[in-house]
Amino acid sequence: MCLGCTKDIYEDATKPNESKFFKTINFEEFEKNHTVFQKYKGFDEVKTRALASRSEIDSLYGFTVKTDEAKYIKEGDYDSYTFEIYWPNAGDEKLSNLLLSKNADGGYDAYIVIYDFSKESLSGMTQVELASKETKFFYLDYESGEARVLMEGCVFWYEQHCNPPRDGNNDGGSIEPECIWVRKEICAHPGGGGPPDGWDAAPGTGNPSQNPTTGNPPSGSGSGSGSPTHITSPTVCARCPNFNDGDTPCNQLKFALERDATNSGLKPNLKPQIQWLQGKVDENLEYGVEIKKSVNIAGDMAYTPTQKASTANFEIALEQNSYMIGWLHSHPLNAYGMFSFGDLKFLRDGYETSYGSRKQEVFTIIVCRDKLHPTQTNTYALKVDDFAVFSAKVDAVWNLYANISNDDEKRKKIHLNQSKIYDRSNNQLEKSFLQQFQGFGISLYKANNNLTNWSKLDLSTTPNSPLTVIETPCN
Amino acid sequence: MQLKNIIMKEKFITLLILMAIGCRAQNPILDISEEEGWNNIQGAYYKDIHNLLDPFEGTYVYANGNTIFKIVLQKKLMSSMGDYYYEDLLIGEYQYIENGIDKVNTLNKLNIDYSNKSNHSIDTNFIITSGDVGCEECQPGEKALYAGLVDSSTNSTALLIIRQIVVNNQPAIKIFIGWEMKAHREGTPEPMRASFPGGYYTLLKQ
Repeated sequence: MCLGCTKDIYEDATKPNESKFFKTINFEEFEKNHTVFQKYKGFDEVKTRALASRSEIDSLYGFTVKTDEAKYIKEGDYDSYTFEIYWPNAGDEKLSNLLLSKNADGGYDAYIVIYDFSKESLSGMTQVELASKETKFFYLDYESGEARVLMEGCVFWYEQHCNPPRDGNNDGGSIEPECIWVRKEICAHPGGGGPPDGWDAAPGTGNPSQNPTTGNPPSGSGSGSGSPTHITSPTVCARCPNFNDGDTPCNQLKFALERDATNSGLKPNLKPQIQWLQGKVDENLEYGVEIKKSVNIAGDMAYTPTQKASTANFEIALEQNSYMIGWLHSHPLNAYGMFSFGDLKFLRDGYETSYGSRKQEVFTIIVCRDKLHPTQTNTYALKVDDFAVFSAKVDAVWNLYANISNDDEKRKKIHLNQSKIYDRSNNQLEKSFLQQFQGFGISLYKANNNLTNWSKLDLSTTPNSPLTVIETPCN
Repeated sequence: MQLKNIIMKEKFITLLILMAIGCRAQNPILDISEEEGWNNIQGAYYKDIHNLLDPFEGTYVYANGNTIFKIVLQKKLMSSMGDYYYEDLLIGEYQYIENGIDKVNTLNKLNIDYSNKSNHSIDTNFIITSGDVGCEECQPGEKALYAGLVDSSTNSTALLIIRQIVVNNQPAIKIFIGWEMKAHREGTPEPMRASFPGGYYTLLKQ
């Protein structure tokens, strides 16, 4: 369903008395469906609050919903409402809709749908051209009181595909084109597989009467009366980062250091952030940077850094949410130049909160003064190798202090005890860290001086030899 | 006679039990400088053998206009870490008043007899000297304390460095408070800021 079109994509094929039909309704009629109206109201309230509290309009909040009319589509028990939306500040004119789509629970899910064509160009497009266009769906989750775009779940829609008209049986006429409904489905794959934060398309043919909320996803080959035309896999971002799932932690960290020459945001571009923190390591305060990965207004999946500076000697707070992939902070001069247990717990919680395929990119970095070589700074990164192990080990340390009732007192005591361990290491902090957290399902990396590469740090495993730290440069 | 025997027998058993507990609780007795964080020896008693914590005990006050910062430090013996090991500690509670208003006051916790004394807002037995982390300003031979401080009213924890100094011939402590980074988790309220600013304070001994 495309709204804002003088002629809808499905218009020729649907009639109100069929099991699948659509009609244009006004807002008063829309309000009569209490369930969907409450969903819309919730979204509108979050959007209004978000706009009021933000100085910059971002990709999620900065659009306007045209509420003068909605397109209503119904098929069996399933129905949906579609409003046209536009971004006043956007440069392009791609047609965009707010879709409220009935889900299996009888409620409605909200999506932003962005078509790969403008309102004006639609009228001149053929069905085949339409089918070849990419459509981007962004799931909107705002039940928690804060609107978020999440790449989770699946959405179904139908497109009509027709074979071209062909000659008949020598009677001078032609046979009408055979048309089928093609069910399309896009799903996010939390936790890996597939392109990063992308949507996988599962094209296939479906029975037009099939209830999209209950039908099983078709598995590719058609079952209709004709062959489906080519269906282009939708992508979630207009431009996606050059980052591959399944990359080693080494490569992920290297990618994070790569220079973003055009300042496109397609790389985390951590070097300037690390350099900013390097300038803070002689202070007695902590500074931090959050790295967010989200779709910007241009439709790109972009990395955005936010620097956090301590004011008036108070603490900084770094945010952990589904968008975040990394956190950097400086360790002040009078603290140990290595990760604390608190940093590990922060990483555990941040990893847990980060969404879907972002998890594999998650890192935490500290920047600190090298106490043995006071003109140098050290930059260390932690990556999670096995989250289940990591989480259990963090909990195990935490639970050692079960007879300290208050969590803050517990944190204080753990920090103090770990400081004693580092103190007894005779400034061999890397070795001490690796010994303390051996078998924790994490790995430690150190950046080189010019911040172009990392080395993985491990303890030597040579029998009957003193433990030493081995540095293995990332390729 | 039989009653007397029974009483004697019970006393003997009680003595045996007490001896057993005593042996477990204090074996071995080590100096606090030998603590190894969470690798401490089960059953050990990390004792302040050289009484290095004693000079820090006392009541200290910082006053600047309407701002008053009072810290009370006390030495506590044989704090129990869940009966796993025992340690002598310097503990503390504090009060911070700004413009006549209590921003935070934990002094009433001094009256609570915790088995694990680390439940106090300040605790440490970690002596640092010149060249150690946190002792960057220490003079040669000086002994300072690397400690932790909690402001439970705002869920804040801080690094606390305590140095003994003399101000106009009056004993004092110079402390550094560095509030630690917090996490703001999605779906939770914005974390509260600590009740008072970190940084350096000089408090005169009362």
